[in-house]
Amino acid sequence: MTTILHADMDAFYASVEQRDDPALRGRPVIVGGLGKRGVVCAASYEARRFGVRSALPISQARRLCPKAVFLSPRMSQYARVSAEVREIFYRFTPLVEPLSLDEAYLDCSGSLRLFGSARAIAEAIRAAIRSELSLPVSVGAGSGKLVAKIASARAKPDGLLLIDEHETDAFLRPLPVAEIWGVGPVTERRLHEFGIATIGQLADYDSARLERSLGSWATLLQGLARGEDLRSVEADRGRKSYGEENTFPDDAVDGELIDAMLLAHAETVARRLRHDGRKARTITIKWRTSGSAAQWRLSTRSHTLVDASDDGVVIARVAAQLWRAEPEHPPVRLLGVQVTNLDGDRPVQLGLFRCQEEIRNEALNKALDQIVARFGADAVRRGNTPQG
Amino acid sequence: MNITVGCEDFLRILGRTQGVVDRRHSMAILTNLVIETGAGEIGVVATDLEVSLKQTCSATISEPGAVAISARKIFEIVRESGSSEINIKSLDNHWVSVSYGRSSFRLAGIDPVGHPGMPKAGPANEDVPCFELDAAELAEMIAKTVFAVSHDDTRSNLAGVHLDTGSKKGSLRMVATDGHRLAMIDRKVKGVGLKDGVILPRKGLAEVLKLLPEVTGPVTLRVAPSEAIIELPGCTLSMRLVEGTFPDYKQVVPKESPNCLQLDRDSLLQTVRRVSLLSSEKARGIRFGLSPGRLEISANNPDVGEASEDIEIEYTGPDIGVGFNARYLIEVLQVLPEASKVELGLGDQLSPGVFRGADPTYSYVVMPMRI
Repeated sequence: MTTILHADMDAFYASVEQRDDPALRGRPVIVGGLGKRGVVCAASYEARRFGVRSALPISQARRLCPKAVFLSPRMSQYARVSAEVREIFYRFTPLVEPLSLDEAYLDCSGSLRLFGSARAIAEAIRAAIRSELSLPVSVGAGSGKLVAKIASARAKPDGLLLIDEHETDAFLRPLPVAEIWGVGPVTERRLHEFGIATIGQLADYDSARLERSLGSWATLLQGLARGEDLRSVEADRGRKSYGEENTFPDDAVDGELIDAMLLAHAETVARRLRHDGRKARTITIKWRTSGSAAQWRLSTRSHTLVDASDDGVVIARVAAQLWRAEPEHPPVRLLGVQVTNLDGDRPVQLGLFRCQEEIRNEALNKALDQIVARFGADAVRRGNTPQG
Repeated sequence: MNITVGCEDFLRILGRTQGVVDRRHSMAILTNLVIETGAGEIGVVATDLEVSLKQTCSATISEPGAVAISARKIFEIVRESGSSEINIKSLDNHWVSVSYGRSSFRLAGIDPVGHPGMPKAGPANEDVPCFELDAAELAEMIAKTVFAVSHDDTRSNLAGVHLDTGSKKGSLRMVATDGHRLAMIDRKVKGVGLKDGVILPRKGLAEVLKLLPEVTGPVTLRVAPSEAIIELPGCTLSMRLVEGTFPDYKQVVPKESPNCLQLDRDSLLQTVRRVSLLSSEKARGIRFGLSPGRLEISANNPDVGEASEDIEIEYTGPDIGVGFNARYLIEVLQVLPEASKVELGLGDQLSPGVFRGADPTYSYVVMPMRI
């Protein structure tokens, strides 16, 4: 049986602030952009009593709760705490899929024998985060991601809600369809036109009719509504890609400008790879053509190298080859370079030969990286990359 | 043209053309072979422009001439004949009649003039180095190197076996690498005059390897500016040389390895095969753990499980752990003779491993894998 937990830190940024500064405890704390157009990133539960919630304009929050303590976010501190939280998750299962700094899915199916039950794991996680990090977390558990996520929202604040497999239907059916992952306002409106308001109604609806209106997407939605959530927890302990892209102020038609941007993006991506001590094998270029809406589609082309590289020249050469191999070159509004298939993801076969170019470029890149580290990214660049 | 030819010889000749002609080639003429008459014999020519093969066999010539017909169809027709002799006759408009016993076939042929035929290579002279070597030796040289040739289209200079005169006069060397491992073999030959190395294409060598077992005695190898030509009794094979510069391989073959193990080829091959069952399917990584008196070969795949096996060895050096792609090891062990000893030299986890067999002129260098 699959058992998925969804762990969601309660008012994460605000809770971290209250933990780090005892003077804030018990008081309404609002973290967000403090400028004119700022919005609320997090509000402590004391502030929520006044109707303050995330994404509210900060000016409105000030009107609703003038006595609150308003703070700018300290992202590096939240990232640090988030990593500590994640390390606690890893004690219980390697299958952790972080969604953001403050929430993650955990697949505990394989850990049940080790820790007893889903409830035992969820309680142990909550206790560890509470005692070691002094932070509240809510946990939802169920047979799939959807149920777990809805359950954790219902468990808040600082709670635990476990939905057994045989309770899944009864739990989901009365809920509004908008609770389903992927159902935004547009889909919700269309479902309402069919007279579908609850998840139960969606589950019972005639599949063929729904599919005629929504396409293949209907099958997925209905599956979710019936509690058939097969999405697996995508565990990942590191990033899988590096990318850089730009949108041109005016559509680019010029071959030279495109080549120059590809080189600039390749250099940026390569510098980040070197900074993290990684190399990539697969290089992808992507572009969005201009013109009428139908032509606004994103195209991608990829090539995989035999040996992984962290050299901008190599990445740029492949990117330019991919672009030149295209039969047509319409005006481009967006252009990007991405690398994937990073080494470290799997064993790396070492090579016999390192050509002179490789050795020379390695020395050059090292020197460039040192200059950038001291004087910033704009201090040095290749002559044929565009300014700014 | 009107000829009668014995089916046994003819079928063998046609069988050898099947790997040469390119069935999917955009030039229709290249899916055909040419049969032309000579003095009491016929010549059969097939080419895909990279590899060309001309074979001869004796035949009764009633009327000289030439035809071009589908290489695949004539092969199938002769294979199914069950007859001892077959008659081939040209008709109007390049139609060709093939008949034996009570069967007759009419094949839509093509004008043989449109077929490129064999590339023209001049006679042996100083510009066309010529070697003579034993068929079995040539077959061994190819078999021990060609498996290491790169299959990567973007590295055309590695898409063949490099041929040069090696370090000693009167010797011929073949080297193949895909950038991760390298196989190198030297053999003494007569008549060396190769100034610069050349690269022989994989496909041509694979075809030569099929021909050689049927030959005993010396064969000649000529290296023209853009072609290498191998002459066997009744058969000439020409292959277009691969363009590009072969990497400087000499610098990557270690003169000596710090830690040398003497191993039994058969049991090492079996161990590597067994342990690699649990290596990851894509990377095929296995680990060699060396400690005094013991070599442990192990693999683990988080999705499947683990495997390990111990081999007793005479070794007193430091502990070493190094990973290799099992496929690279299996491939070299397969071409080393059965029931022989192999020497494996290991460095650290970033240094190449070197295999040597009983034959000191063969080396196989394989780079480790970081597991």
